[in-house]
Amino acid sequence: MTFTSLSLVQGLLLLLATAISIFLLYCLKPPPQRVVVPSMIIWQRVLRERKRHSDFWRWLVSLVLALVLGLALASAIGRLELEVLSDRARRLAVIVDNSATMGSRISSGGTRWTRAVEIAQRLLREGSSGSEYFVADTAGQLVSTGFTARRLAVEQLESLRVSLCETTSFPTVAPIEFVDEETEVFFITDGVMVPSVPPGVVTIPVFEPVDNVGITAFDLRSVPAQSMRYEIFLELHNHSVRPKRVAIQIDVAGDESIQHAVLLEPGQVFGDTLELERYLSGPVRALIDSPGDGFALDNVAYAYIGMPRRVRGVLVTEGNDYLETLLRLDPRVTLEVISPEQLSEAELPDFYVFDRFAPPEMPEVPALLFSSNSDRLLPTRSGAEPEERLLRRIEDEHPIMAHVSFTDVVVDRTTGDKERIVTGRPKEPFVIVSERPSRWIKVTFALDSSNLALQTGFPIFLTNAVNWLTGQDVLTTSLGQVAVPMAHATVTDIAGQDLAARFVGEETSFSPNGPGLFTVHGSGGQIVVAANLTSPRVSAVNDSMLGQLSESPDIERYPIGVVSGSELWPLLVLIALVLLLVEWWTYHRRMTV
Amino acid sequence: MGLSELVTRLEGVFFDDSHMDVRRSCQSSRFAGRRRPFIMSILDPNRTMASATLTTLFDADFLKKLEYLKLVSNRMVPGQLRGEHRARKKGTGVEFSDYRSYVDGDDTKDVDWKAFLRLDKLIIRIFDEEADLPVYLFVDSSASMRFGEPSKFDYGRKIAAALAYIGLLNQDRISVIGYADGVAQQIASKRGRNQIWRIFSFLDRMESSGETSLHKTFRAFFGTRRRRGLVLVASDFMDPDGYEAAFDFIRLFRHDIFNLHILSPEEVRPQFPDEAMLVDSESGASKRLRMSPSLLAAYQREMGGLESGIEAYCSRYGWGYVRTETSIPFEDLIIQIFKQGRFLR
Repeated sequence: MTFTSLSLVQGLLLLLATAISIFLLYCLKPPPQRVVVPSMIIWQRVLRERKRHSDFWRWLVSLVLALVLGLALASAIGRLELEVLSDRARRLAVIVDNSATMGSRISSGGTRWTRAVEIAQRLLREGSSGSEYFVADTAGQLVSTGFTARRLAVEQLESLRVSLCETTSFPTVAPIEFVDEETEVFFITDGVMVPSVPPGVVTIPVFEPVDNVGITAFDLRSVPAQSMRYEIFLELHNHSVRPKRVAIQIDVAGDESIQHAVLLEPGQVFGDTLELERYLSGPVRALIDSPGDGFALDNVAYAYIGMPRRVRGVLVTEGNDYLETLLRLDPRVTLEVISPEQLSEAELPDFYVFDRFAPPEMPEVPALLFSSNSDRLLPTRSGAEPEERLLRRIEDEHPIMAHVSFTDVVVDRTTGDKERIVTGRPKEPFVIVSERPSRWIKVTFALDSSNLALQTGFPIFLTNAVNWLTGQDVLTTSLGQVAVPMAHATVTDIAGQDLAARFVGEETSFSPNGPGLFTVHGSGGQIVVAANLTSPRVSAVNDSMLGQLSESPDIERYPIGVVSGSELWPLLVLIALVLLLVEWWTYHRRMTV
Repeated sequence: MGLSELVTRLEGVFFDDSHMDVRRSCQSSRFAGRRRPFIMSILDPNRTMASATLTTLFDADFLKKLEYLKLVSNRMVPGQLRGEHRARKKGTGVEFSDYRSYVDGDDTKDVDWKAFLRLDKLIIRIFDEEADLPVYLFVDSSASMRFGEPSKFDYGRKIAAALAYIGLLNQDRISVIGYADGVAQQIASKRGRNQIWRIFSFLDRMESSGETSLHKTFRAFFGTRRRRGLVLVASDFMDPDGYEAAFDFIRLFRHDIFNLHILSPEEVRPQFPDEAMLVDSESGASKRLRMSPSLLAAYQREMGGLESGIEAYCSRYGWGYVRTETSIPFEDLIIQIFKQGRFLR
């Protein structure tokens, strides 16, 4: 005996409480009304002639009826199952595709995901009470616990949500990999993000074509070598089967909205670049609208412009005209050139540029160092090997490397410092960045020992470096799990609502609930995170491997909304109803007055 | 002022010397052919105090109905009152009945000496003895008679009062006995119209309580010598010992029996909740019952069986029997009793 909606202990306690309650109610039944009659003589004669039924037995039968009725209802609530009345025990593994494309609306009014959940619930109702169940998802939201009881499997299924990650895959967990004859594996998917499944897995499609025009790219960056100007790049893709007229609206904080419309043919990609002419700062939002759009997550994208300002820089050098000239060409920078001996006398600027020189201690303001051989300046000196304690990751996509290539750079020698290598190899880093105690960038070679200064990208690199050193941090990322290098920070969305965050080491991670701007506040300042679902792969909601299927026998095999014959609750409710009628007819029907 | 006080006042009216003129007035008017009902005399508008003090049991309306019943009785048997009859035994009356031959032991004062002189034979003149008829009114005063609205007890008392009134007018000798588990209260036999107030007072003071035993009552009452007469029993006959033993006993005395079976509509057609605790009004015993239409039908069959049993017994021995319900006006019942001819001949 098991209960689908309750544990065995809870179910038994429910039955016990029901029985005790009914018994107590019977004991507390009020006495009958006293009626004074002239004489009992006639009644005694009547009762002598009639077949006598003991009141106790009548009471007992009524009690038994009420108990059976109450227990039947309680069992129906707990969804009692009896092994002897159930089908054979089965092992059912249900894999649910919770990729972002499963959030596409379908004609029934729900989404592919809601339909998938209905089918999964239907599958979990299959089998007898001795059956075992396994639930997994393609986004890895569930931690595998192996085959479990139905109730736990249902709870796991109900805890699943559509994932906003751009990468999902068929789970590779032990219960599925070692499929035997007793195990049935079902995969409920739209076939978009997970195009293939292992053999032996029964695929139940929930795919239904939908119209979708999505933003597949939204980028905002300063114009190379023109640090005061920004340009927006917007890319749209029509994944619908019919032409779509798309209204585009770009909202820039502090400025009027930019609106226009385009007509996109099926499969057409539309790209547009928009230059912001004024000095602006704050959030930027791109919003598109097309009639009948069935996938909303890619209809909006966010970016953020850090606050531009004039900055004061100090170049500490024994003399480097090329570097000095390039810095003076940046309209935002007011440059002061000093020799290393004058460093202690100078006021703190907004940033330093050290050319072949390293100060005794890392300054409190951001700094750009060229071949300063400054291992002693690194913030952590624990005695461990530099590679092990400092090397974290290679970030070729770091903002200071935008539009810059080191492919043709020839370096005679480098220093061996390693923090965050933005280019080069782990053993031979070219550029290292760090944010402790404040931001600094270290180029591990001197300009005169390489040809970097002769590269066309060097002015851009220098502009990027100044922007990064003095600008506000903006992290553009995709949806899903977002990690920010800030310990124990709080995360708020654009409406000021706090988001749940997890802290792992020096990082704070959170999961955006949709495209948007998020501010991460921590002891080291704040970082603006622009999270978007601008993925051509996700927007292609109709590129399904199941798209060509004209019919699906699996859906017919597992119709939705039909109560499984293996469950007893409908029968128990019917029994309770019949007993209720019997008891009313026998005991409570008004017979006299 | 209760009925008892009223009766006391009325007695003063009838028997006090200062009010003898009223009696004479009534009697004189009677002899003058303008007989004024004496019961109406106390309903005279001029006697407001007396009429204002009547109780609800024997109120002015009740007394008016009695007068109506008297008129009805006169119309049914004109010029003949039940009490003014000849007894079967010949006696010392003044009305000549017959002659017979003298036998030893006859009183010589009854010898018709003129006939002896003419016929030379001793002939005795025989006179009819005029005798009053004893009427015994048994009113069940057990607790079960309190049932109903109006109660069976009140109904029985009114019947007894009405019959007593008619009987007294007919010069009968009226005895009223309230009984339960034996003779509870009784008033000695009364004769004469003036006794009606004593009987009314007695009935008004009568109380109902206790269980019923008609057999014990008859044994107690007729255990002493009683003249043969008319016995009326007003009861619901809810007797734990049954009515048969009592009837078998009274039958031996060769009385003229009239049974008045009084029932209330509530006990004839009871309306109970589905589940009820029935409590006996006499013994206090209780019984928990689940009512059903079949059970109620069985009850009514049993009740009908009791009625038909009593009726059959009475019919077998030539007794009178009337079954009534308290919803029936008592004057209609009295007329029904009259029609049976026992009170009026």
